[in-house]
Amino acid sequence: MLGRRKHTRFLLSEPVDAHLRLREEVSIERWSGTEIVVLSPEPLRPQERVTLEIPGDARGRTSARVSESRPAVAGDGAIRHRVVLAIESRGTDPSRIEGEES
Amino acid sequence: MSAGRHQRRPNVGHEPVATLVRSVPVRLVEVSRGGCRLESASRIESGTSGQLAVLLHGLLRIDDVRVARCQLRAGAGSVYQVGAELLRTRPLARRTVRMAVRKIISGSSPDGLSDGSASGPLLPETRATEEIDRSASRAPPRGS
Repeated sequence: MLGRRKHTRFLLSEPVDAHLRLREEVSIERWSGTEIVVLSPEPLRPQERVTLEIPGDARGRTSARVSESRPAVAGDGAIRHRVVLAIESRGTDPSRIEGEES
Repeated sequence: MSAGRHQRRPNVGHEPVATLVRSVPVRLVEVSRGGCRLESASRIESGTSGQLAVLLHGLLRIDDVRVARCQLRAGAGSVYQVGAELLRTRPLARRTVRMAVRKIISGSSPDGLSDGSASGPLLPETRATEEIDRSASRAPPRGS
């Protein structure tokens, strides 16, 4: 690791609270009126609040809460996590998304 | 690391895809012009990109970051140390983390104010820390 860092680092005397907004691409497996099932590359914690954004649609934001997250094998054989999201508020019609993607 | 990034791509061949956005509480511990060290109660995969939002001197500073490394801090329970690179994806402006870091390093207030009239946390003091003792204990981020 010698020489890896380019800049001098400075330690804060008091750590500052912050938030990291992370974005993951997920595949939508199923979308009903009350819940969405997605395949995610990362596990999520139950009760965690997330937002699902639909590409190409500014109104396509759905707020949801994680109700279940379990490991699963995707179609390509890779290990993913099947996450069940309980919809809290929806901003788009899911049928539009399927139409756009197919 | 590149292999990890490839593994992260979901199967987009047949199923509709979406972007899952989640907010992870972290603590900003160390800064430099190129990146920062965060502490998180949960593991964050290397290569993950996102936005770092931090309230400094009453202003919400936001910048895009990419997680370069994440490792469990020995002897600190479930506290992960996250090394994040500050990405130059937006102009260096007043509300960016990079501008705040520059001000922190130079010792002035992050928005040019020096009278302390703004609300919110004041600028933390810093010291150069290439030789810092990293064994000092800290609590995990709030809200985790």
